[in-house]
Amino acid sequence: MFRERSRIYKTEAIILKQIPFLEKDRIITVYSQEYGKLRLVAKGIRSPKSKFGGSLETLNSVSLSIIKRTNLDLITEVYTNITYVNLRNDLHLLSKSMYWIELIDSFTVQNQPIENMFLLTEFALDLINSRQCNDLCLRYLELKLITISGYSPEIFECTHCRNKLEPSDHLFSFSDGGIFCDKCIKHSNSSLIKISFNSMKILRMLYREKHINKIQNIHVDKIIKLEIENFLINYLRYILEKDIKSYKFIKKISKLL
Amino acid sequence: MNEFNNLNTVPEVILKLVQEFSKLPGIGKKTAQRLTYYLVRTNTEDAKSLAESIMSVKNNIILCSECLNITEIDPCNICNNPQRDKSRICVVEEALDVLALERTGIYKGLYHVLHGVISPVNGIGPEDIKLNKLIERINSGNFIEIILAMNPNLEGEATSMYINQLVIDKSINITRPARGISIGSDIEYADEVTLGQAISGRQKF
Repeated sequence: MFRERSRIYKTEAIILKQIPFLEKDRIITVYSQEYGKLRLVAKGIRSPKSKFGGSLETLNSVSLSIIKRTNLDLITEVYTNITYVNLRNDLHLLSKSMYWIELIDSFTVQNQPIENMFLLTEFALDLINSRQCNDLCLRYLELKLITISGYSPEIFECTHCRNKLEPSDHLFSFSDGGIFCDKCIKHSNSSLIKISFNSMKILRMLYREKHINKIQNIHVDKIIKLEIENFLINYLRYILEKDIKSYKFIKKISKLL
Repeated sequence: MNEFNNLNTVPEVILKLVQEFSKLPGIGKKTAQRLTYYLVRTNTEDAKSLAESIMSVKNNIILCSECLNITEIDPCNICNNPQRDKSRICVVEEALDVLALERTGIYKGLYHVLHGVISPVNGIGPEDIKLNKLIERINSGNFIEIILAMNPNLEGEATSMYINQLVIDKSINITRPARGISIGSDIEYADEVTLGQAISGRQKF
């Protein structure tokens, strides 16, 4: 739902990334609740005497006052709502949150808000910051992100004939975004990925579940966890048509720690 | 630039120089035009000296094989100076940070320039910055302290924590510059994170 920005507007936002701009400025990319992804200029932010101080740090949740301009809009006032302190002091948490903001940045387009995306982003950062986000929770978040972005995978019935699936290993097509039953394989446009019945059971559970605390307490076999992880990462790569740099970073960190 | 192009009276060489100037960081098309017309008016000596300086930067500047700072001679003046404390190494993001730290006149140790920070969102991973050379240096030298002087932002923190994790097993003191309120500013306007760190890192009067 596109919302026209007035000359001076306010919004709640999460800071995704920033790049230096001109002598003392920065271009800040945020995901805002009302307007979706925005690229904004923060004047003088690189100077130690800047009025913004550390309030526009990446990953902060902030309230912004913005002036509309022809090219990049200008931030005039910032109020920090949440600073996720734990993320900044723990490399493992930091790598997960960097992964999350890279996904949000890749999935969103400027000035096109996606319903619930802001809430999901805040929820995810909150969960990672609370040290409660295990691997399975991260998969849950990925699946929710894929779903609200409109790429929800069809995992309950055959994508082609719409019949219920047999309780056995399944074949998934990334390009069709769903499972094909044995009879319909010939209708698939691309190569199919095999995914075990047990992994699919967990995936379906993640898809249906509304409460994260139930997922935190489930014990899943390592091999199944890995299969789900590989499946979702490859699906994300397929959707985004690029590699996810911070996923490699998470893997590097977990080898170190 | 279009309206500028339409004027057939503008010589091709001027258009070319305007284009070259506007490639520089922080220089827009208007500024590029101003600089170009200034150079047209200026005397030949000044223009020649500018051109020569630009070329000599490209021809004579290399990276120091030790600290990777930009230099004319290898090893650079800092690495080669016997007066410097060779047991301390200060890791910085860019060569300009060395300049800023040298201006303080307080630090007398060596440096290591990473030429970037880890920032996966911008597509920069640990393998894209000069980290391997740093680890190589730490392993082969007798350092007692490593100062991680990255910018105090998320990417800087990530890089510091990553390096800390890589060298944590070695008995080297790993430190970082104190965080606090800058001289001449007001506590009232300081943000929570800076103020919090300034209070927890307070010093005896």
